[in-house]
Amino acid sequence: MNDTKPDALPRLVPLLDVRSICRTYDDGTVRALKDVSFSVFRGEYVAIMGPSGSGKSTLLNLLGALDHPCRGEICFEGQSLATLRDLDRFRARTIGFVFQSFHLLPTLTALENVQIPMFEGTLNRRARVQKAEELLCLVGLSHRLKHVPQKLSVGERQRVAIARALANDPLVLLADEPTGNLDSRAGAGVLDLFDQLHRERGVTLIVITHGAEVAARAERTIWIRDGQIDLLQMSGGVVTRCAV
Amino acid sequence: MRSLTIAAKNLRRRPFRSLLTAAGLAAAVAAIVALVGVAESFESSFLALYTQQGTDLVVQRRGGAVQLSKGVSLKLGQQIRELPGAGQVIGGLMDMVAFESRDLFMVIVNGWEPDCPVLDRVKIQSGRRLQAEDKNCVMLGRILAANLGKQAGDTVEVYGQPFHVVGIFESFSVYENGAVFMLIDDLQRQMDRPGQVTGYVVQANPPGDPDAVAALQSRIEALDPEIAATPCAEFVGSLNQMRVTRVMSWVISAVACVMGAFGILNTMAMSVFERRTEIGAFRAMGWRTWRVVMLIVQESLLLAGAGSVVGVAGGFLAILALAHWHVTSGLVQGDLPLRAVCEGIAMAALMAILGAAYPALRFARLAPVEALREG
Repeated sequence: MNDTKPDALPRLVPLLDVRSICRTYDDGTVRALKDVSFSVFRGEYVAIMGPSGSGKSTLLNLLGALDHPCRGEICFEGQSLATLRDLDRFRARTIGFVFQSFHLLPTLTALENVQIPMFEGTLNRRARVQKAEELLCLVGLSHRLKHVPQKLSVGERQRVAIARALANDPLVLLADEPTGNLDSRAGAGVLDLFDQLHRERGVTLIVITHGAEVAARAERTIWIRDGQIDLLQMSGGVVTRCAV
Repeated sequence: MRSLTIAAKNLRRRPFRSLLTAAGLAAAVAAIVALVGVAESFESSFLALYTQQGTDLVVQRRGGAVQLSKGVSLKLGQQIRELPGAGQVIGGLMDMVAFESRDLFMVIVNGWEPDCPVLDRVKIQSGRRLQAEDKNCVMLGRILAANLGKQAGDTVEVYGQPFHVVGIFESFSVYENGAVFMLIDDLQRQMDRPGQVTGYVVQANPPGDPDAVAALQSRIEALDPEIAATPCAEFVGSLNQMRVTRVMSWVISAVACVMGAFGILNTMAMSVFERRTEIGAFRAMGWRTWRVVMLIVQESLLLAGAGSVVGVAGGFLAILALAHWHVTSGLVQGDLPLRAVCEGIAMAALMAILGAAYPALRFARLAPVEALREG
């Protein structure tokens, strides 16, 4: 599945197919997700919104193969993640994570931070450096290659994190509150970058957010409340109420 | 960028803590290098004392160690000389004395025949060698003379009696440089062992030929069932003093190793605990468990590497200090045996791996989502 190029499959084949997943904690007493189903197609830009504690982060962890659902299944290009033997490899080659708090190594330069996921790839050292440079150029940081995170603005740090998420050419970019720690200007810059990646590179984006301005840029918004999908909203304004 | 770069830069995040841990490791490595180095040097110097003068066999009463309280007859020496395949035979009496006013303990006293080749082998720095007609006269090794502040022509008190210092000598051996030489008659009288020597060092003819040595060994032991003729290396290895030194150095090294491992364990556990969210992010990015474990072990090994460099230097300085301290200068050579360096570095690597193992394996069991959540 990892060898599949973005254009090789038709847009209407789900890239991610979430089928009636449930996730509970503490021996079932806490039900974080209840019977959630939806699909994400290749090249889509999807926002997942909901109040704190609604199950957004749990859903992101499940989509990113960091956790397993208690019931139901998540299929990636038709293959259930539960049947994958090497989830590390799947994450390395398929998923790009963008975290709210960046998780950049403070002692590494931007160029070095971007190379971290590439250790699980096939590139040699020189090719890793070259690719990291290209990615930092792509996110507008060609003049900040040798800067450590402390010498970068928070917006620039998140751009480094986005470049890092793109390091292994993932099929899906999962972003967890990517603008949560940014001021409005830096946040807008990051969202512009997402738009650019989506438009020019056809990157599939799934963004968890509290912000309506983020959701406004997505093609589709999935509202979650109390562990269930509440609304599905298309960018054109079509709203489907799923549960209350 | 290599993963070693990440490990090295991670250590710079807490420079003071990394420095302290490396310093603790350096102390442990220094202790290992110094102790193993002294023990090794002690043994190799003692062996050299025999091998450099072409000795093949050491003849003593059975018992396995230096028999200072027992002796063998001077007549035995003549019997050995007459055996087929026997080359040079040197008999000597040996004792240990102390010069308490100078804090010098375990000073070796050798009693030699006036025509003994040992008296010709050593280089006279001042004065002269012992002669057959000398009574109550001694030669002092260079280090001992310096420690006692004596020169040729002075008088030194040994066994509570005054001895005339006829000469100061220098030998290739640190033990002889820290020793007193006197004629065997004088020493037999002081030790009340007339007609006896502590043992003989015997050269086979041809020297060093294994068959000739083995044949001569059998012939010597056939002379007297209470006599053991032992090849040099075996004799030195069997000495109780060598065994005790070796065991002591290993026991103290093991304790130093355990302490070092705890130090590095503490550092690595804190480091991993502080960075668990970050490591969780690494795992989310697809880093495999073994790669994370390797990163932690690499950090630990880098600390051990820094500790080893400083520790080997510190251990060498400690050996040099012991070689120059008047109390131990007659026993310790100022060299750094390669084996001590290798053992120090190997122990540091072991400490690093043991210290990193627990936090690394503990983290390896933690799911990335748990690590990210805990942050």
